Amino acid sequence: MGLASYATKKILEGFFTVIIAITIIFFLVNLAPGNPIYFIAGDPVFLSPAVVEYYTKLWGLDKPLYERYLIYLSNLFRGELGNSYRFGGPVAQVIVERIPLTLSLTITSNVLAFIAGTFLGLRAARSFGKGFDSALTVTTFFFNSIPGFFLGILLMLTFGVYLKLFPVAGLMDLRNPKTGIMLYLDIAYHAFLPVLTLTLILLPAYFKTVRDSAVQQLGEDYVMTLRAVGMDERRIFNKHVFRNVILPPITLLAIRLGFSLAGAALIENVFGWPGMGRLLLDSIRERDYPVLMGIYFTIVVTIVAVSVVLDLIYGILDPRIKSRG
Amino acid sequence: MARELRISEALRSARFIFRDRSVVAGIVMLSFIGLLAVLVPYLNVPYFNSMDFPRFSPPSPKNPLGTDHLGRDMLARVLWGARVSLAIGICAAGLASVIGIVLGSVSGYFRGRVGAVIDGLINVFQVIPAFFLALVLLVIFGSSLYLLMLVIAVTTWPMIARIMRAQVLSVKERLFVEAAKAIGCGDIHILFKHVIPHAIPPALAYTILEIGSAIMMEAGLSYLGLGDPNYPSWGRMIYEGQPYIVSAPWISLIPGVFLVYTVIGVNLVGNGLLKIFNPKLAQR
Repeated sequence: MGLASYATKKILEGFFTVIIAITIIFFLVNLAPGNPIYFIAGDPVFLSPAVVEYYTKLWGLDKPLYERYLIYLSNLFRGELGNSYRFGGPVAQVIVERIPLTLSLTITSNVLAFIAGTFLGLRAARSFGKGFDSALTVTTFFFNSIPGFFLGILLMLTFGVYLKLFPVAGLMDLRNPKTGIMLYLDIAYHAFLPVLTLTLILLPAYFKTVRDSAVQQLGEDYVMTLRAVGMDERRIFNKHVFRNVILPPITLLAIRLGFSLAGAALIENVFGWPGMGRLLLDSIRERDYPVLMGIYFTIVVTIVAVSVVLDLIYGILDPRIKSRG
Repeated sequence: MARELRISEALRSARFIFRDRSVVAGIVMLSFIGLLAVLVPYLNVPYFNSMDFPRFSPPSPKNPLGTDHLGRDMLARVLWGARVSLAIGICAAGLASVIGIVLGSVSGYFRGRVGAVIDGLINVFQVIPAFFLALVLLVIFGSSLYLLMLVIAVTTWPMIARIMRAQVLSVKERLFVEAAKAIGCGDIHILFKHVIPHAIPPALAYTILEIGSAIMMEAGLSYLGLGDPNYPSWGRMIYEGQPYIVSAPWISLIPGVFLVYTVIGVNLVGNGLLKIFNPKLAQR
């Protein structure tokens, strides 16, 4: 299979995955019991039929299901996500406002976890079986077993409530608003605890992949040769072993970045961070279906796009993958 | 004869498993909490919903783990919560593993059209963030214990299906499968009698790990207020204690400690088994 046809195949696959994922959620949401009008406008007893009829028309709920589905799909192709039930404005705008807030948490913590995990993994492999290695293995095992939101609560209690080192929740200091560069510093200050929580939760997987494959590399002939010629142990690791173990954690990082829009909902909830996760929970509670589906669409497209790009990169780097399909 | 062979084989692998220290430690941890969960109706603790005690009382001789915001005994709630959390974890992981094992092995064994459809299904479910889908389903259909189990199972089976598929792909090339074909066994017979038994161990180890993720997922969903309000689960208790986290931190912290303890136990067993059955997969 040539590169062009391989690329076409992957992109088409991704396209259909998105369509199927959208279809599933569309029918779930639209077959759900309960009329969204009542959730937003209140008890039907107090609503005049004219109001209900007006909103039913406005939101297109009077049309049959399949027609709404086709309209939704064709709107999506034109880049239209519709209007929010709650805010009235376009869904895209509501979502775009929240994206940077979530990404600033998830990208930062993923990159930090990747760097720290890789570094610690290599370091642990270097002292394989010794105290440092076991201590790190036990610690990361612990962070792998603790739910993120609970770790968030613990860190919030320790650093926010008892030690008073960091703000407990929120995006910025509202009582004492800052401007210019100080505003960004204030936001970073507020982001510290959520980022720390996410980093600690994400780190174990990077650590474990790097440590285990580095330990495996220790048995390889080239390591023995390098040791035999008297090369410094640190140099063997940082230069030679490093190159052989770095690919899996990079793949993991890429996949996780794909999920980064969806990944922080619980932690955002703990720390009152107004990102995508909060928007998602609010729009679920308020039955704001257009926003809900818009978020879902954005998340799925990101994930699929990242995985298609990853497949293509691998196809270029390793020609064997292409022939396997 | 065949049965005797099977029993001695089982004993040998049991001995092999029990040689792994982390598995043993995990089993000890889990049997402790499991025993408490099974025995709690017969223990001398108050009913989990009876509000007979002063509110917000910290741990004391009368209420060893304190009371919550409605004056309910925390010890009773945490122990009954163990029943709920463990039941959800085990049932959800069990269901996910049945779906995953069946679909994964069918897709690995029958390439061609059936395999392609199942592969597509796995791919779609893999890009849908599980937690997101679970959230939507619970809000739309209202929360109950059974729906929680079902939702967690439906959103987590693809991982097991992928492991199973890879295993079946390699097992079906083995000589005994060819031999079974040569003597005229049918595909279904070969798949269920010969291929799946050889392919299943890593998927089973993964199912145990999946119990831990299911417990954590239930806790996360309950923490957002989407758990079943009628029963105390650990996640739900953390959620209920959240408003009083500063004045009465034990309401959230105690169920959290039980939660982490149990997940650690499950992960010790699951990781240990995975390492034994398939060293490559354990690198997670």
